[in-house]
Amino acid sequence: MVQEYKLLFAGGMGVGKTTAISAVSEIPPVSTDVANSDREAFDKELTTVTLDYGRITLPSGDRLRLYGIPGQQRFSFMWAMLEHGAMGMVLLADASRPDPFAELDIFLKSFHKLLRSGRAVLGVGRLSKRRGALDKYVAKLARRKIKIPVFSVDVRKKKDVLLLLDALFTQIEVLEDDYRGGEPAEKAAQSASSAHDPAGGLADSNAPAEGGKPSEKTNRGVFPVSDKEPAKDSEPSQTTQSANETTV
Amino acid sequence: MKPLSKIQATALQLRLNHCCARVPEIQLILLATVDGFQQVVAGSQRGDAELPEKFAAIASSMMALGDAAGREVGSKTRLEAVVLDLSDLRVILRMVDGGKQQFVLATVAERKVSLSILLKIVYENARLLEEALR
Repeated sequence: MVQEYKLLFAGGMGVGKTTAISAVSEIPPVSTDVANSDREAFDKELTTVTLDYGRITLPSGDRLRLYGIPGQQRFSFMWAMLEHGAMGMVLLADASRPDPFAELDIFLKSFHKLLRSGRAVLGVGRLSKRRGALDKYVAKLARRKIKIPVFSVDVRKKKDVLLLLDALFTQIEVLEDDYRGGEPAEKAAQSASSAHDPAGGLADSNAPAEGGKPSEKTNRGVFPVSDKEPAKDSEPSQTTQSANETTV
Repeated sequence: MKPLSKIQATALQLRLNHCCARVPEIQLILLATVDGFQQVVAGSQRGDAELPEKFAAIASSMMALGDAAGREVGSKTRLEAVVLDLSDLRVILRMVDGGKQQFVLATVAERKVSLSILLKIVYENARLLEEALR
């Protein structure tokens, strides 16, 4: 029987939720973008005011329904509605913001239940290439007792978004194994991470080679990957950093 | 960016106040930017500390969702209005074309005002606001 899974994309305004969903959705995403009148706060032409919606059908026939939240706090009345029934969450952050941790904190508080359950991953965009740049994010999560994989990503790249989804599914599957077998909860995060260990070559082990087919051993190999990148980007440009760093 | 000048805001405020005075069943009229910022508010509920700000965001979301729903079912034009028919209240959201910028006009009224009359009032208000905004 075909299963339907609801996944949430969360994060502040302009972190790339709409772009991420557009990058991987097999249907033209349902978008509720309108003109952004607050260009002083964030210089972006359009902003999402209700939701984004996209869909991925897995080789098994199961479907992922991807929901993006509106990132601005005045739309927080939508957050709980969209979170309802979500199996997991991709949380996105933008390291180039003046205070990315304060912004991240809003979502760590608002979605603490889902995050504390471990059914989530954090993707950080526009991260400096300095070694260990992700450590502050891991420490931030740890202070809130959140143990999820953290990746440096460029959500304009389909393979980076698929990496996040693969890691999320690994995380969820390990947690389910844990539920059945009594494995410690934090092992889930470690498990997801080990599949993307930078020493072992994250991009090699999880994201497929350019133009290649998905690796058989990528997590559970749930995401088919085509070599086509999205035709255009609707978000501000990001650095060309690829998903090559991860930690938990 | 401040979408309304003081003169525009005052003119719109007077217009909305006049409408509320003329139709006391109208509890709230609110003009918001399409991305959910409150611009002008009138009516008996305007004194509520949080309602106008919150409702501006909700109105913006609902209009955007209505627009998305219209596109999905094959509509080739932009959404004009969303009507909420509650057992005690009616809420009508109407797009207002301000030339350079789009706005949402939200009107909340008791249900004793018939839908046709309320729609007439809302569309007339929207037309007058559009004239003032251009």
